[in-house]
Amino acid sequence: MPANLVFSIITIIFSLFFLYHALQLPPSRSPASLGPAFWPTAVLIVMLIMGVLLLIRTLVEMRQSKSAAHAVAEENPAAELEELGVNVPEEEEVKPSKEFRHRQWVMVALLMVYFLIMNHVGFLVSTILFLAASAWLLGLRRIIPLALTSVLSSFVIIYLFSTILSVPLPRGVGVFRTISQLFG
Amino acid sequence: MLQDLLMGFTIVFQPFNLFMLFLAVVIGFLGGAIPGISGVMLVVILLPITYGMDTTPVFLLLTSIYAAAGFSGLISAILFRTPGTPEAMATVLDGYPMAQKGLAGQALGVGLLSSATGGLIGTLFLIFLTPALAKVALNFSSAEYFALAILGLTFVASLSGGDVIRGLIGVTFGLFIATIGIDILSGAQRFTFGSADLLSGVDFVPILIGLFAVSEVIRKSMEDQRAVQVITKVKTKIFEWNIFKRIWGTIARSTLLGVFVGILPGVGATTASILSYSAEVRRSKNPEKYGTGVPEGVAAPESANNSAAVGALVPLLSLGIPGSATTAVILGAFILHGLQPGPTLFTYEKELVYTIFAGLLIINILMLIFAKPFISIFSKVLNIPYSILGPLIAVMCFLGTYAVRNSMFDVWIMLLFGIIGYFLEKHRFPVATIVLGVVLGAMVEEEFRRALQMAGGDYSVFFTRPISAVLLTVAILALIIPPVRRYLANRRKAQEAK
Repeated sequence: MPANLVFSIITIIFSLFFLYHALQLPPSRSPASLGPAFWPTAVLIVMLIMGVLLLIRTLVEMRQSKSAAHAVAEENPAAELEELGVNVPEEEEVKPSKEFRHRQWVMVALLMVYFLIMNHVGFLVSTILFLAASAWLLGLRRIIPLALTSVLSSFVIIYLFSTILSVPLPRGVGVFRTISQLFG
Repeated sequence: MLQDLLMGFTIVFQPFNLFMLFLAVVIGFLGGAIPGISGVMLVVILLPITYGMDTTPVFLLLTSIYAAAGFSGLISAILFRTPGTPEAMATVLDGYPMAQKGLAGQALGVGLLSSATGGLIGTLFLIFLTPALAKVALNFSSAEYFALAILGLTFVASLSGGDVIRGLIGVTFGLFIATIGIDILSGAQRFTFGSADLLSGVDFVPILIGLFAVSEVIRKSMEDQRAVQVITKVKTKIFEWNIFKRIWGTIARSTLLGVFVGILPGVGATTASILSYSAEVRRSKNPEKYGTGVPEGVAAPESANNSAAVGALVPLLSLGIPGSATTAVILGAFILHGLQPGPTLFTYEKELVYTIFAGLLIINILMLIFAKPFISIFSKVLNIPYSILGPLIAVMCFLGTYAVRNSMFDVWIMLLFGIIGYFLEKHRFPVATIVLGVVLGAMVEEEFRRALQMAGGDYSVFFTRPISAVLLTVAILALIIPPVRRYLANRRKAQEAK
């Protein structure tokens, strides 16, 4: 399925859903000034129209040719250089890791776990764990450098932010709170 | 004006501000030189951290990093064929072949000299154009501001991705996000769904950090990081008379083109560098030499991207309208510190504006002076593997978001927009449109409603005031012309094929 088809459908559902809610907003109190609903409604209507246009255009392109890609050749500035005969280097091919096929989603999962546990175990412990886990995921496999970088950089960050910039960081609960209070 | 600039210089030379400039040199060099960190990302992450500090050193730091990152992208572009920042994409074309010929030091020198010249001349334009434009804008009322913002949004929608429909979807999505929360004028809750976290709206800092930094960490996570590049020793040759004689014309033309492109809303430094490169190829008597490693091919994009970066500050500082994602981030920095760029900034914060100007002039010279020692000392740092860099950036993203209002809700918004940004970038959706919509959203709506209120609810106010009418007409043309042109071009191609 072409990406634009997905985009257009999401856009249409999104704008219809919020249009419904926008129309429930209270009306304006005076005739000369606009109520809270007018602007979001106008924005959402434009969004809806664009979603429908994108849907129609994508469907027409799909019908015109099975390999629809060329019809909407995006105005890529690099294309102009190619026309001039300049050898433009290909955009770097992404080489997916062999060990994990969807490593980016493991990264997202790690971030979610990191933010979830932070309020319980505090910034320090969760950051050490996150740095170690994500650095391992991205290919740092030697144990000693892994442990050293995650622990040392966590302490440097705590020092910088908690002590110098006085950003209050989550300290966690129970025994973790005591640990956090020892540093910064 | 000269007096104001002198005052700016005396402020910059205060010890703490000077320290900020040096910090900007180091951060800008490292950030620009390390692929995976761009100038925007640095400004976005540093922005919330500097929240509690005085405005003058903060803006000196942020604008200098913004200018400095334009330099260092060329280092890895020339040495590794990987542009350190997107703006250095065109520098690869001739920079890397030069390095292969053993002329890496010369290529770096040409790039740095062109960058500094572009940056300096761009700043001079900034210093002269901005106050003049701000003076004109002083007479603007709400209708003109609304029209101006709409002009900026439509230009970004139509130019930044080459697809008006998708661009407008991005802009309206951004504008919609900005309406969430309590409506200031009526007190009504909009799209909060009973959530206390949404009452004050979705803060734009987590959105910016998510779209610019988190999405990049997610994207880079899927690449295999084990290939480590080797740096050979290079001797940077900044100034050589016989080379300079060859390239000065290129630098001058590209700088002017860069300033012009930078001032236009919707197109930024990356486009400027590519445009000036192709303009030089067209102009040249030996166009086939480009791409094989000629100094002109490095000088053109590097002088253009630096002058465009500074040129993009003209509409931001004088009118309060950012033309690109990066300047939208700087507008965000002003808003976060309670300042509104535009003509009033010149009246109330004159010192700040001229300090920024002076800082930009100095940073361009500092970058040139420190480039040589930096490249020889820090060339090892450029080899930090992403397995360490990526996780650290992720932690910095958390800190930047959390520092604004200590809210875990914001952190989740950041992650959500990181995932959205990852998908959008994968399908080449212009993220800049969303950013501009979010950052300008509140202001556009407010000016729109105020203009109507002052006109007693008469919609014709936007078209009876001449400046507003012109701006809105140009905005509509910006939306109509590109699709019509593409349609005509396609038809011509189809006819030729027959």
